[in-house]
Amino acid sequence: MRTCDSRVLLLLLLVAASREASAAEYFIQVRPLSRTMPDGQAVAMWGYALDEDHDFSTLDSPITAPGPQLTVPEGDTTLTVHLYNGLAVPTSLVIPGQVALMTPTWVEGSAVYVGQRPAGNVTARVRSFTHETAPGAVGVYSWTGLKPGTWLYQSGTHPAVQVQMGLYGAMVKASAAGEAYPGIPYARAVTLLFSEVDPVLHEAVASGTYGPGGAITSTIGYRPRYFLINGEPYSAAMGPLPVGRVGERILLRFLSAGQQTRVPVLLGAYLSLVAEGGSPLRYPSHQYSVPLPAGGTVDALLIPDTPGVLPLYDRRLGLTNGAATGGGMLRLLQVSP
Amino acid sequence: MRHVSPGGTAPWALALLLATGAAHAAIDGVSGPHFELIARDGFILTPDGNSIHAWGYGVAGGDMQYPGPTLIVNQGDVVTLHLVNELPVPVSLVFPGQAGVVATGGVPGLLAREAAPGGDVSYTFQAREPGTYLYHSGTRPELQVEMGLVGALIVRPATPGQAYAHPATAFDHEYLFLLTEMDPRIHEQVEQGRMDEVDLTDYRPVYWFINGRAAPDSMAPAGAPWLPNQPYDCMPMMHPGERILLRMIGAGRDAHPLHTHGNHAAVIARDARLLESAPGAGPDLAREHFTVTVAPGQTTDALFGWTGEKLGWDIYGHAAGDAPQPREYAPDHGKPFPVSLPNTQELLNGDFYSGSPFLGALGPLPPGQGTLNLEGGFFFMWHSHSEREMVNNDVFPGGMMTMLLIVPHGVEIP
Amino acid sequence: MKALPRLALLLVPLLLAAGPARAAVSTQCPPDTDGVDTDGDGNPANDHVCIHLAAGDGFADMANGRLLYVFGFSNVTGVPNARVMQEAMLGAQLPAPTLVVKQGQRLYLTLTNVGMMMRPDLFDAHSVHWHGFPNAAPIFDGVPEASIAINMGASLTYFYAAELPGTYMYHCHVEAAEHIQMGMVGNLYVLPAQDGTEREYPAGSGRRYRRFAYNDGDGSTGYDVAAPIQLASLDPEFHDASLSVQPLPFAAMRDTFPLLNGRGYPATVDPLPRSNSHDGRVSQPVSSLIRATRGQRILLRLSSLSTTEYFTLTVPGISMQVVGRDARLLRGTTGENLYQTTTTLTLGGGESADVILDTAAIPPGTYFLHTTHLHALSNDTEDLGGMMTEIVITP
Repeated sequence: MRTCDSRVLLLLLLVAASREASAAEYFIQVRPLSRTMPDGQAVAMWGYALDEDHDFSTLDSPITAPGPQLTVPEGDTTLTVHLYNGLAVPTSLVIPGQVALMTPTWVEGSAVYVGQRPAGNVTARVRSFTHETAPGAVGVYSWTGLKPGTWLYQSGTHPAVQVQMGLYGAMVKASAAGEAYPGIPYARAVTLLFSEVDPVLHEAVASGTYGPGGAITSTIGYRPRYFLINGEPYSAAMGPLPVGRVGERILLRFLSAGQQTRVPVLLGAYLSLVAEGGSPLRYPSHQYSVPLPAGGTVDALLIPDTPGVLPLYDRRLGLTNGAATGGGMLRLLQVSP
Repeated sequence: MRHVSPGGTAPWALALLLATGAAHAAIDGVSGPHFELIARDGFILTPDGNSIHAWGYGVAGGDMQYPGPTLIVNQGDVVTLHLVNELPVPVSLVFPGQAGVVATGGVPGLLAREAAPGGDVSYTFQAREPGTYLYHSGTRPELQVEMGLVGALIVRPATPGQAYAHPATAFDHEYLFLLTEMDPRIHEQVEQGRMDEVDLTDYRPVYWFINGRAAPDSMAPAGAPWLPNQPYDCMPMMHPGERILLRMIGAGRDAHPLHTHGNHAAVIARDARLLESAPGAGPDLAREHFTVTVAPGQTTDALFGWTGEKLGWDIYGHAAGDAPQPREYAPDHGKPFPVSLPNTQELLNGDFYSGSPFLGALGPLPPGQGTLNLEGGFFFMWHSHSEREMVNNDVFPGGMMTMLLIVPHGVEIP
Repeated sequence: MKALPRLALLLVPLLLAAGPARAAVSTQCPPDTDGVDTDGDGNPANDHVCIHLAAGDGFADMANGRLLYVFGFSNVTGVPNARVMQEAMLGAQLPAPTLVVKQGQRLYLTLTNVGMMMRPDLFDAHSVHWHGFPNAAPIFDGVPEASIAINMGASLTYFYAAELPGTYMYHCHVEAAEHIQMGMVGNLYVLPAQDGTEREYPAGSGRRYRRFAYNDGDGSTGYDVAAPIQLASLDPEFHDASLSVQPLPFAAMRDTFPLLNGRGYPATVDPLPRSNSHDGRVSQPVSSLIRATRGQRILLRLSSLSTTEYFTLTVPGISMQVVGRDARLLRGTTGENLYQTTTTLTLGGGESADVILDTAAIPPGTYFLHTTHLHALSNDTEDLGGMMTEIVITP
């Protein structure tokens, strides 16, 4: 997963500073991409890319799924995302749990209704939970009164398809410098974003056979075959993931953009679950397991007392790449002395 | 529709008649701190007549068990486990919730050191904190957990009769609820050596188990000779006013909503850690649930009590002047039963129904009905509330289900 | 009743004549003469509540137009006993009639089994299981294996002293995997004794409430708008197998109609009762459309009776505050407030939760309560449907 590098962040801060002291601003392109899974399966996906020069004229960052982590400085209370839609269908952006002005779009046959359902109509269906950005257009999405924490951003348009295709990412904001939530300091943070891929749906969407009259007409037959953390399934070639040092307060930000509950289990140490859904828990819960619902987020503190490797694996046993063992939602967390 | 299992009600009858003589108030298992274990294959029997090839752990010299032996140790013990692998594939053990596990021998694996086929490996750790834990294979876990390589580990605190070091965790009886599920197609592929066909992303379980048994076998006695690889039962029993400890373990890969008919259960610990506001506070953050989610890999301890209080009628059917039962809810003493019941011929009378609404009483029933309730006990079905998990393949009832039996004071609980 | 199948008409006299001569529809509703004011409203003679439900079969349309055969309950309270069989046959509703009781009331709930008109080969009993009733006794718990259930053409009266408020649910427990999958599920909740007293919450805010989810003591569960929403999911193949008297596919059960209050989106937002296309009877009376004006607090009384799956819910743009689970206020044993604000809430079959949505800081508009199991935003093979409803916040 790519996070916003310091140069971009600085630029963003400068841009933000020139307009309003308390606003974070991102420029993001929505684009298709192709991924190859460790077993050789090619998967068409949709993803996000940071637009570093803010003019959307070129693609100047990699397209990734999940998209770039949006880090909002602790003092900022407003987030603005400029979204360029490089797909052939409309899209939008939502952050469940954060407040925004929502302008939904409903469809019924060829009719499109924006803002509200026509009086007496109970047959139109929502396509977008908030205002759409048409193909080739740039939309602006703003959140005010931004709450700190770990949040999932994702497409608010036809989410059954668009989120599954890869349109999701993490948005994080500290409550203060070195503090995840009030009273919960941390030394470093590690994002672990879980998601799933059903290659049959991806293929149908990419080849235009998804939809009315197509080979697949709804997502009800969902059957994931790839199980990702930060966009990558585990493979033998992957080394341990450095997370921090003995005695440090390491904040593990768990997010799920998948559609099934996942239960990451840590071997060899306990975690303090300190927040869920972006809100601190009144009392931390000491567990080695982290039930992670679809669309949910959990913050957990790891304070290792010995160096070494702590395996973290999905106890729903999404531990294969296709049918092949030794993959999926697994990471070996490396604790250094 | 009456989905009568093979043999009609006979399996239920058999199960219960034997269980009432041999139920256990203490959890069956093997005591440590040193364990000699094997991993080998065997067969799981299901009440619909199926026999499923499975892998499991067992005590050295014994059969494979599903689940593996319940390992019982004391807080502070240095636990050692020596595992000999009689399976044709590498196998291992992992202990979620234990720190400082040292493995010796064997060969390196992804999650733990493994015993090669015919080989062995040893693990040692100190059981620092009391509570309910599980263990399972750390080798190709998506397959080996499915095949049966799972088990429970119980660490007892210094004070007997408590789940944890705090007196608010005291119990009268304790029961294990280790929940698993199985997709027999996977087992068939393994049994027939078609390993290249095994695809765990196409996982569709049709059998659901408590302590390795599907209902009604869950209520058959522990160690029943006709279930050689499934020695553990699950037949909770209590008297009114008592508290029972439920040690619940999600050992399979799905979460199960376990519904405790009769009353809420108070969840006091998760992953062997008390739900407490501060160390030593005791379970002051306990939550009462009428359905407890048992998530995979997680353990949950809950206390369950039942008195029959506040029903607005006397559950013993007392007249006002009768002597009360021990721990009876006094305000309802002598209050009459509030409705008249239909003629028994207008009713479907359950096999576990005494014929009377009152605890400890037997009422008139048509011949052959209510035959499984000989002491006027109250039976409460405890089951997965994903109701399709209450079947054995296509046969209802079965699966992840058992009965809590509340017996009047004076009836001994074995 | 119109368009009753010929088979059904033939069956009526058969059913009425079936069984012993004493089998008949009957209700029990004794007067409240104990002189004790158990519900605390100042009147000691009005604490008894009597409801009469019928259990049978019927039909319901899914949001994509597919007609499903269902089992279900209907409300026949007040219908003369002699007319109950005729009126309730093929009257199944999805979900069952919502039962609301006030803390302290005594509910005499009569269940009459009117038989399965479309399945004359079936002689199933039915029952009511008040799911989550504290310190239950088997006789009124509805589990047929452990006590009793009522046969066709006869009535059984259950008694419940409602002592603990909260969000429960009810369902038939006969052949539970089958009868629940077939649709015998409903909302049930108990209003707290605190209702009717005025409390300001938060203190000093000027926002006052007279209705509460629980006896919270501080008004923190106060609400303006209540929305009982029950999750379920149905497998059309199972229902079709039942109607066509085929072996029931328990092992293959796969729910493809995820529902809120018995409907898939967008039928969930229809404020009106919905009739089925088989005989035109109202079979899905419960809308899931939620309306509030800005500044109001919405209480979601959520429960799930899915027979197959856990579902997670979210409301993009609005935080959820969970104040109760499984008919218990979220408080520690020493009274500590354990409410949790979150973005997702997960419910397995047989679980309930009370969630407050505070619209004070929410811009007016339409919001969506939907499952994050996004593939379940489908009505079987139809897209843009499933487990979703709308929340309309007006200025």
